Amino acid sequence: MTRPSLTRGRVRTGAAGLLATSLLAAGCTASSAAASTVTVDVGYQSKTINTINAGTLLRDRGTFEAKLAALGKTTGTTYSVHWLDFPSGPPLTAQMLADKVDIGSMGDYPTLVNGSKTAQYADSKSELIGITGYNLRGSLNQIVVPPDSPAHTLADLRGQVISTSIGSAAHGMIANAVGHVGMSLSDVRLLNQEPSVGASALMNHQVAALGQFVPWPQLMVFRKQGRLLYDGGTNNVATFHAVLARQSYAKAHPEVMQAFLESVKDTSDYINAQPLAAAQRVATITGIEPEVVYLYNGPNGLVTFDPTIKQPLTDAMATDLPFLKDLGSVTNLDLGQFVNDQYVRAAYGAGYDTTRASLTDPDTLHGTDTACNLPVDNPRTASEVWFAGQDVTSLAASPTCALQQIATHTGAVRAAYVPDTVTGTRLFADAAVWVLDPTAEPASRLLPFALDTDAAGYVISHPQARQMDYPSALARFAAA
Amino acid sequence: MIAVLALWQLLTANHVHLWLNFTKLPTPTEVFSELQAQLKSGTYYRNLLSSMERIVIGFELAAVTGVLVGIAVGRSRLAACALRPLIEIARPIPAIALVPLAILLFPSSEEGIIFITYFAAFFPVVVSTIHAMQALPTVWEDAARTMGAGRVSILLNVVIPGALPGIFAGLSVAMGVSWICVISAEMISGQFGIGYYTWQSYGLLDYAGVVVGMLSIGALGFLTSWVIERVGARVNRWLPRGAR
Repeated sequence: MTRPSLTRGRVRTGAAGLLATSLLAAGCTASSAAASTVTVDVGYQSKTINTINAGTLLRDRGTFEAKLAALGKTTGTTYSVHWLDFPSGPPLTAQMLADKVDIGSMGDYPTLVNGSKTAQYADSKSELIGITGYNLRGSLNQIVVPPDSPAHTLADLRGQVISTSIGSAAHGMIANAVGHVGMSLSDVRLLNQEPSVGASALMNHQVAALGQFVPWPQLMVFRKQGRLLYDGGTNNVATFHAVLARQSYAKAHPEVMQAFLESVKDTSDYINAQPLAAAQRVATITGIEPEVVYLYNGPNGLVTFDPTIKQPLTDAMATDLPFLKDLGSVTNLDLGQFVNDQYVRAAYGAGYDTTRASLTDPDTLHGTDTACNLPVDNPRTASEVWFAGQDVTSLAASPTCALQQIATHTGAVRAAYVPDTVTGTRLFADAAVWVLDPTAEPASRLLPFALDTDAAGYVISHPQARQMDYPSALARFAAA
Repeated sequence: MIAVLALWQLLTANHVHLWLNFTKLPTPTEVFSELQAQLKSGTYYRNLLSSMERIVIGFELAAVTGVLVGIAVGRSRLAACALRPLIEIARPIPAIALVPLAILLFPSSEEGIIFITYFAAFFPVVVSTIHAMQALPTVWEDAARTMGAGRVSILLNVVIPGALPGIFAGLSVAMGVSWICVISAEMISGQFGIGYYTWQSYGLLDYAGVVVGMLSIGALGFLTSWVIERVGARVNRWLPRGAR
């Protein structure tokens, strides 16, 4: 259904309202003819699994519609929600500029562009009203290369083509990353491509590397089409996705904003309570492999789902702004005005400030590793194995214990998740570079590394250690 | 031209909103200053050159092979039986739908884009060549044959010159189509090129840049069509019917 083209306001009365009212609120009689209909257009990115609590999963669970229907029962207003799917942030912003989307979620860089571009127009001026998920170190954006690529560090990409989406969080990550290794953006050639196009370009070696946002880098790794070259976490700049609303719409319908953020909160709570079920549902809807969704969205995963607007995220925006100004896509943006926590505060009630101040992941691995007989509590070592045909994952106290479970298990493994030895970033065990350190404790002799350079560094500083691949690491247990 | 520009300035500068919404479109002055900035930057020319290069290579290949295949199908029953079904099946496929395959098929996106341009331009040329040959009055051929001309001689001196006006009509259409496709292909998988520039401007929501890209595409398209028309007029001047 399209919006009425001539009415600029969102309130429609009359026959359509009556029809919608009578359809939604069964049992209503002629008295509801006076009721009005409020339309909410919600833009989301179905494949960007960092925003599922404000998009894919929220839509699937119908939480927002249910809250609005309950609200409508008391006020007599009928709410009609339209969901619009976008491949990335910029086209969503374009629709918000055209007043065709009222609430939208997108990554940090597109968020800033959105704020700056819309600030010039009273009707489409936007504000940041909440967060979907974040990673304090920036590990959501990564650079991958083909598995057989000769490149092992970012410096090896000098003069080569890196596919990315210009203006995205991944683009900003690359700009920071090249600075980290003493290069500048002019030392590499950036190619502007949609993530899916970049992925096929990487498969065919048309580009040397792919720098992208969730879930693309680890999707390539999981499909054995990519090897991690640079983790955005190295930059140590927080990355996140935000919920934006058109200010004029939000002011007219504050109850819709609050209902939306309450729904985002509920969906986040659900993901944190039932991560495996949530990941499988998202996988079914999006077509992304459940193993990949669970890597990001699972416990100790790369994404922390939490709608509160935390201080480090606001700080990160201030850090990001100069890059976008240089790029020419942001002229000026007053962050103090742009960020409006009024609705998310109302959605949380008294607990808002406590939740906002907390920087711990509400979804962590906890329990006991029965195979190793050790508690599972340290996020720097806690690991997880998802055996085929099982609805729950098996906890492991350390990566070594996880390998032991896999080696002694008869049957297939869907995926095993281990934290990187250096950074704690959650990895696929079979994509990690392993190091055997015979001098370490028995439960931590096998150490996974995301980057082969980190593994090599460990071997240099631990002369008795040696590097091996995943099958050899597993074989240690088969022999023992 | 001036009237259109004046209207555009009027509508955008005064933020007119009458069903059509002009409030957020860039004004001509904004576009002009963006164009000036682009004219001073090296990458703008590199973008123009890349697109022109792709058009020239793709279009030339399509013109040569298209005319040759068209002549073969038009003149030989065997070629017609063998090629016509292939042509008719491949013809309705929008060239842009080949982008995903082209990325996988070719060693670099450059060849892929040229292939897509070629694919788009090929069919108008073939089809117009076939039709031009079939539309030739048979008396011309008969006359030449009674004067003792052989197959090759008839082809070179009667059929091809006679079909040239029709072929050029096809080339003209092909040029337009190949611009559409080179731009779309660049938007999806390009590296440099004016379509790539336009799409990147959109990614950064730089609408003035988008309009500069559109105008540059229009100007280049106009230039190439004009070249085709000139060459066509020159070639066809020697023909009794082409002078008109």
